[in-house]
Amino acid sequence: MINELRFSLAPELSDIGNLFRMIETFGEANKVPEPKVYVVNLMLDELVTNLVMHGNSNDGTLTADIRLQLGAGGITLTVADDGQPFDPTAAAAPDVDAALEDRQVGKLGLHFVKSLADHVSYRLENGRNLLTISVETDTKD
Amino acid sequence: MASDIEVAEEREENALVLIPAGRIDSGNARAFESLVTERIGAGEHQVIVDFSRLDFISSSGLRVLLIAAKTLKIHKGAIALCSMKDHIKEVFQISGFDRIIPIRDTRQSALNAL
Repeated sequence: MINELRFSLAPELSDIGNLFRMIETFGEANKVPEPKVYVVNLMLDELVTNLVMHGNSNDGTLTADIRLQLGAGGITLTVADDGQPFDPTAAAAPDVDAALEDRQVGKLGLHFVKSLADHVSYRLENGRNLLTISVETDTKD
Repeated sequence: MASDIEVAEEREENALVLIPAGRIDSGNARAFESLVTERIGAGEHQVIVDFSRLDFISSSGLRVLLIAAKTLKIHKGAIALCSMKDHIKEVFQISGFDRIIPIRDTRQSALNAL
């Protein structure tokens, strides 16, 4: 059984479809519950979108290395990128109670990542952003 | 990855029902936004989005629904959503969108919520 998936992409949205298909195949092969596959796909859509929009590196050669590991009780998702240093765990949360007129469209993506993960940690390692996210699979939800 | 999206369109009384299929993600949200904007611009001010054929939505898709809800409010119209799978409903709850856009189990109750 292959319980690790590695994927490198130049964060262009055109690449992400392949990544989603790989995650779905990976999830099926390893019998990952469907809602958890959804959560991983959602997190990656949000993180890669943010990278494409805000992560621009100085020399324009931004790359991201994505690793998905399946272990006892959960999935560990690691995203390493060489964009501008950015700590998503320190990002401000959106106001999810604002009235319709005052709602902002930004910030929701990272809010999803932080809300749906069981644990998120960030560090800057050798000049690269390294984000590690755990999603438990042995709980029912 | 295809940047387009398959959206069936039906009518319930005076409401337009949009039935997107598959995914609304960062790759195709713009295409969905164009369709919604065009229909609202053409005078469709009562809109239901039926999620029964949708498997995935990210914040890019929620953004389109928020813009639609704001625009429709200005036009004294309304939007309601229905027939969501549980894992999709969860992201509407986390975002608090369930408190600003009506979400119902069936198309008929969405129609009543407009």
